[in-house]
Amino acid sequence: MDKLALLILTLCAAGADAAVRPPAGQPAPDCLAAEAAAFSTLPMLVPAGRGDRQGAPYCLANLRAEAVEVRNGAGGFAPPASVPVERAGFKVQAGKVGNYHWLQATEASQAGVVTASTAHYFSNPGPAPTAMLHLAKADLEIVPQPLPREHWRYRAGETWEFLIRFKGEPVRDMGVRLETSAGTQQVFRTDGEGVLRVTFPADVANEAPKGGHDHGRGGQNRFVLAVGLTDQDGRYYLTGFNHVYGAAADANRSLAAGLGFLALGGLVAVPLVVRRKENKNG
Amino acid sequence: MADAVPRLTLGRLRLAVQLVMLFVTVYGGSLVGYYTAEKITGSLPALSCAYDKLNGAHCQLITTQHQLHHRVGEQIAQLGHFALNMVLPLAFSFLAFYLFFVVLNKAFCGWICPLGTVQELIYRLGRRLKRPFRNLSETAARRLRPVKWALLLGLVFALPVTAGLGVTPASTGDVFCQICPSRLATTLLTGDTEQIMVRSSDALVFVFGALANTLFGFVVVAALAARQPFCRICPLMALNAAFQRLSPMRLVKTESDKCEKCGICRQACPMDIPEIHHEHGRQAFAEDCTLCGRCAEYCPQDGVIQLKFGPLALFKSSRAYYKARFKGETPAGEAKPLRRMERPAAGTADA
Ligand code: SF4
Ligand code: SF4
Ligand code: SF4
Repeated sequence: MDKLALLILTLCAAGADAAVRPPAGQPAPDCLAAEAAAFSTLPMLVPAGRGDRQGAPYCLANLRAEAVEVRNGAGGFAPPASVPVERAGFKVQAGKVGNYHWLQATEASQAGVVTASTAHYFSNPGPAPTAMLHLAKADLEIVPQPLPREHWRYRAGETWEFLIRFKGEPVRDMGVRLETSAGTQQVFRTDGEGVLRVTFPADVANEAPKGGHDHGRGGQNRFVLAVGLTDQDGRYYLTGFNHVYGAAADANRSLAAGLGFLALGGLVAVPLVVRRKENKNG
Repeated sequence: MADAVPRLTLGRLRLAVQLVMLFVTVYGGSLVGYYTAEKITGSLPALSCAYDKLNGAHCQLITTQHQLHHRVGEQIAQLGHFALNMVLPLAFSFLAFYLFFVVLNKAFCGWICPLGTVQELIYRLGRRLKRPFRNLSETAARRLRPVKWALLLGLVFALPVTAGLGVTPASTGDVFCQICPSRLATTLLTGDTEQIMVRSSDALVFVFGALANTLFGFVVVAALAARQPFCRICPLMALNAAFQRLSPMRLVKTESDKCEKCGICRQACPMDIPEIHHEHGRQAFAEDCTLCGRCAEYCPQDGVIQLKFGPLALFKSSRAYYKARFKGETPAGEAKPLRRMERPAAGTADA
């Protein structure tokens, strides 16, 4: 039924969206300064400031490219949109449909290929990203399996899976590097199926939540996962996937208080469930 | 012979549907898919919770709160004026809601809602544990009604908009979810204890969490003695009531002079609805009705109460059915001792 609503929405959005869209005018981020301050030397696509419903600015870090490929899953297997890079930055625009956007930049040279990738979520109607993730989009890939659902995110202490693929084939028993903005560096290995299980480190500062779309979840860190290999011809491939992860599920939460208030509520209801004397005898 | 307990009573059919739907709404993600876009809908007229990581659908209340918060409130704050198209996504989510609703009407409450089912199961447990039966007086049942409308208008509609406008704190943007007992019930059913921990990130969020847990604790214990305690104040019941005349599915009662002295329908009604006893015609199908059909099962008059879809009578009260049904269970839901004596094995388990 929602698919129907989605279709109608798509048809109507053409007329509707124009009036909602605020004037484009995000200041161009200083991406070179951002790169200098980046927490890692691995290839990344780093959000540059707070995006909104219409678009989000990004910077390239640790690679150079003329354009960034953007897929949003709504176009099926259509070729990706090519977004030009200016002064090492670009802006991903929200379409009328499409929620998960896969962003990917590639720098190819004689020596090899460097790829940076990330995922951006817009709160729009659109298909699930499963097919888009499954599609081979680069030679060497880090494929989230799955991406966090809307209103979720990667969190410290949680284990998430990624598939490492080279030319469509899983890469077995391969070391993959994790670096976080809190300075944690770790190496994880893929299993016999090319699946990497990453447990996010408990290095997220316990910040007060900022409100808004944060939904009271508190602070977050950035991370980059990167894998590199050399093929038979001696060509080098390096691919990164970067994103954010939040504080652990139980950060800023109290089980004791939870159980206490549960018990309090139960206690208030107790008079209802005990038999009064006259009932017993009657 | 006509008095033999029918094998397939409406009550048993409903319990079977409820158990299947409890599975779909609580664990059904494995059947439908993991991403929000793969869920059966985000506009379900029942409290299937988006916080449950394994669920198969989301309720309309979370969609409404989010759209009013981000698409309406925040957009007005950003643009400085209201535009009709801000409510378009909301209109489409209500359209999706209505496409479901038109088929089943408030049977979403009586047959599908996981929290409704959980409360009924606890009440059944209460019968086993020989807890007393508590129902609301006619006056109390009527007096309680405005609460659900207040919760719908205040917590689901108004506060998310004011949060988007920046008038109330951001944490009021999804305030109903923060106190919703279905969030606790369904996540606990999946073995996830995260939601039951109270968030202490700011004072207001803590207060909402404390309220949620207190309410949930109350509902769980009260449901041992009273039928569907939360449903009496559920804002989704109010939303469903706003649409209830717009569906061909309905409860129909014809006038009968036997009714005034009888009133078994009201005893059988899990929502203690006075109108089912005293009124007929449209009035008998009251705003609190969940279309569970118990009143029709327990009405001893042929054809006086019916569940109808358009011109089609899906179930009609009948004296023969009533007598047989009464043998198995009283209107208040107590299993009859007679049956326990007939089945020694079950009898020992009950003792
Ligand atoms: S918390 Fe309640 S209102 Fe919110 S999504 Fe869950 S069931 Fe719906
Ligand atoms: S009234 Fe009861 S059954 Fe209906 S949606 Fe609310 S909790 Fe569920
Ligand atoms: S009036 Fe009848 S159908 Fe409606 S809730 Fe009461 S018993 Fe169920």
